[in-house]
Amino acid sequence: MAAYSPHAFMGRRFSRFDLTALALVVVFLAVFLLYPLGYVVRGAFVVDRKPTLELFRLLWDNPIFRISLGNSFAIALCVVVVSSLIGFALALPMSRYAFRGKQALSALMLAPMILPPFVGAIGVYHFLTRYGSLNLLLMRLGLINEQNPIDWLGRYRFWGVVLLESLHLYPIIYLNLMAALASVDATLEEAARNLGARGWRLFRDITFPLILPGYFAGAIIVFIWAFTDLGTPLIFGYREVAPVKIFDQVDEAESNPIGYALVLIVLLVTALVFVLSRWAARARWTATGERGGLRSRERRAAPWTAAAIWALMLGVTAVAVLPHLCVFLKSVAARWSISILPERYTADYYRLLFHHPLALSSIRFSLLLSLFSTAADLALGFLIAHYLTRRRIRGRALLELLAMLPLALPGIVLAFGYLSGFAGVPWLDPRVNPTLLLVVAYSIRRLPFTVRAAIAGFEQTSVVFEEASANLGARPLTTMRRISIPLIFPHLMAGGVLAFAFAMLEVSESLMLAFRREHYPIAKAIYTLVGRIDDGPFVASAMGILGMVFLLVCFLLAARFMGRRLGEVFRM
Amino acid sequence: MAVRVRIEHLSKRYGSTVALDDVSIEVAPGELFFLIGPSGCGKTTLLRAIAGLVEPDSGTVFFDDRNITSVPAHRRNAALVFQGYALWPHMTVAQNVEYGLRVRRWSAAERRRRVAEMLEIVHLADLAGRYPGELSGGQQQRVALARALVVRPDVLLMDEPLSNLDALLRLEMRREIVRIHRQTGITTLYVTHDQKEALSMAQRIAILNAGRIEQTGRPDACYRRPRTQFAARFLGDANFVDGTIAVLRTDGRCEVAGPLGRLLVAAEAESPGTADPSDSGGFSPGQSVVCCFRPESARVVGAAEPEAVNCFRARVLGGNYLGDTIEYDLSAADGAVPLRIRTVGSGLPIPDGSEVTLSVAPEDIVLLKPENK
Repeated sequence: MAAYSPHAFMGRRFSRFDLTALALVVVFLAVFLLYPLGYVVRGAFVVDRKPTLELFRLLWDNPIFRISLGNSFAIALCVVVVSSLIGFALALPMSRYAFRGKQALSALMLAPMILPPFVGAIGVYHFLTRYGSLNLLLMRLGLINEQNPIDWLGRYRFWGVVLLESLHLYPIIYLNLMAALASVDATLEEAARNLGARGWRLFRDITFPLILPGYFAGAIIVFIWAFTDLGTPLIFGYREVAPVKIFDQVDEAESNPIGYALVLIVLLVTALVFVLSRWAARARWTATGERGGLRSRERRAAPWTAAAIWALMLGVTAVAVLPHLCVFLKSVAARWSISILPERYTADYYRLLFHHPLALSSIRFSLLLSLFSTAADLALGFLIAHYLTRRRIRGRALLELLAMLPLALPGIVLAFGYLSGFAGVPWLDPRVNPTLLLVVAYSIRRLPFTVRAAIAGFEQTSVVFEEASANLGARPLTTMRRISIPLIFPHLMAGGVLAFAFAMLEVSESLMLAFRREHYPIAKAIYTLVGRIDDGPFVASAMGILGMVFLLVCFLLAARFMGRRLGEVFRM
Repeated sequence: MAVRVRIEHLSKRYGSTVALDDVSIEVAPGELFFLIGPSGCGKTTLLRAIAGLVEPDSGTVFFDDRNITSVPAHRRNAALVFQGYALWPHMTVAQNVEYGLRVRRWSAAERRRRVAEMLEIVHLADLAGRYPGELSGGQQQRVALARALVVRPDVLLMDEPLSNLDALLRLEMRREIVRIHRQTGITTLYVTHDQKEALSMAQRIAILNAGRIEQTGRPDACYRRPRTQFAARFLGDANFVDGTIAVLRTDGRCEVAGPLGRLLVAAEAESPGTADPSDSGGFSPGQSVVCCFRPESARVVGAAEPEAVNCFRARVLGGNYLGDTIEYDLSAADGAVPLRIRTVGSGLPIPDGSEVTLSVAPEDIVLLKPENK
């Protein structure tokens, strides 16, 4: 049967609703995505209304900035390598074998994603201080001198950050690899084996090239995430990285314009790496063969193989959970100094969460922000996906690019753009009241989740259901409400739950856009509490644990709605 | 009450593929009209263009005298029974059927009454609360039919509605659809690639090939007097014998010279639906033609019938017993002309390799133009 145009069922002409919705989407993206970025670019090149490259020269002349950029780049590369190693080690056996409890193990693989590294950093920090658990343990074992403990945090902060971020991000590599491996037809490998290729050679020549695009899709997200992560190095006290330098510029953005140049460099590196990875991963072939004829590579594992896979998975997960175990210990420790484990335990800090002014108000505020930003994401995501998949619109590719752009756009860049671009604008100036701008910032950053999920929903749902509705006389809006939305509801929910969860523990925008105590989201409250002496770090730990429990629930919900296709949300 | 559907010069292309090429048809009010042709011939595109699900590149669609070419799908009131049924999986049978009434803002009581009545007609009253996923193919088909009929559409469109059913159910549903059509009197366009379905159900058919209409007419007329070799072949087996017009006789018959000798052929004039003045009787002596006749038109004659006309010898290559009939493949004129004939199954089988004499009545032979090769 001839291919037919899927957009015709709603008519070629756009209704008033269509025009309003499209205008809304375009204006929203233009004002809150393009304008702040443009403002940063302009700020980097224009000083005192004169175009100049002076800022970049200043930047280059200042060794601190040079070193910081280098450190960030090195961190990002190392994180990609480490998380790739873990990701491959887990994905290859997982995709190859079927065994008892595989479903449960797959869910467990997502666990590190719900452990924000900046929370883990609190625990690790405690673990690694001069008289922290690790040194005390080593002293107890007689491996180091009590008078001269190892300065882990001084010497190994770089690797601490790399490790924490890798342990957080490897599931993204893993999910992308699993999705890519699932679409490798078993016959392709069998053909190679039939011709004599085995083991490493088979992987290098056949399997790896086939999954390369999927791998790059994950790796690029990991790189950008690690390159621009603000929370982890900040908590770790590792200030010689670009994101922290940008964070420090926030207070002097008015007087010292060098922040613009720094942000622009970060943006350019991100864009460059993105383009490079796209180029490296571009498909040089098109798949032959029917998708329907895909044969699974999975085979039943022998008992000892299954046991080995279980051990590997549990082992890696245990290591990944370790920092957060420290956080948990800290959140229930009544007294914990100069001892390997806490001396007494208490649930006081959890009780305190509901009385502590900062903790309580920040949880309430984050909840409010996340609810509104998620609602916006759901509405925008559904509309954008509808126009991309079901209608013929001009500038389709551009709209898709804009909607997906935030995945590759660092939060610190956007936050910096907001801070400078909306200063003095009524309702929006974050220094006066950041509520509206935080809602917008969260929703822009998480928009790709709902757009991606909704597109997957539309693509999996045949257009004939909507055609049948129009055919029976339903107006386009009725068709949307009664047919499209119910049919792609599970996908929308999965995207929405993820958007909500990530908004609740969002770090960079929360740290950079909130200035007054009553406007602190959770992340900024945790950061503030960690910096206090008294019981601050303990309350912060309790908040972190609460946040992680919350994320866990959200992930389980999302996985329930979207099942195995959850990984698609984290792909470019 | 029922609506006349008129399609004028409709064209549609997808890239370099031509789906519809200047198609014009007219469907009378209340008619059961069939669009048939091989897959990819454009029949589904034509149906979807009438429903407003495909925008034609050019041409016009009229419902009575209303030009509806640019009316969006939801304002056409031309209910479509989709090939895969397109039943909404998140709604029950009753909700699926009710939907069209709901968007037309019928009151709840009216809706309930009408849905119950409709489910009664398609014998699904006891499955109203089920979800489509819990129904068999035949049941789903009837829900799709009920969902389309319930809104009392001006035009009913059916896109291969029986293609997903097994043979037995298909026969039953054919009768069912004809019955419901008679009962409702709705102008109906029905797309199928199954010529038996078309011949047995249609009041009129249009045969499509590569986006063009080959022939339009009553099923029997199209079968007995095809206008092109494609139309002849698509509706059933046909024999083609090349020849040239030798004599045009005053009684309206003509003689055609060819490898089987001279064949006497009756005039074309009486075949309805093909009354194109430029074509009928447009043959002149010396012109190349193709003689076409159906397998069942050829008769095996014995020596006792010396007065039989259009006789020629052929050798039996093989027989194919089909129960009610027997098909024979033969070759005539020293193997130059392959033939197929059909005899009643109760007759004595003819052994392979034997020589027989065949006869075809002049009325059963149709003259066609040779196809461009």
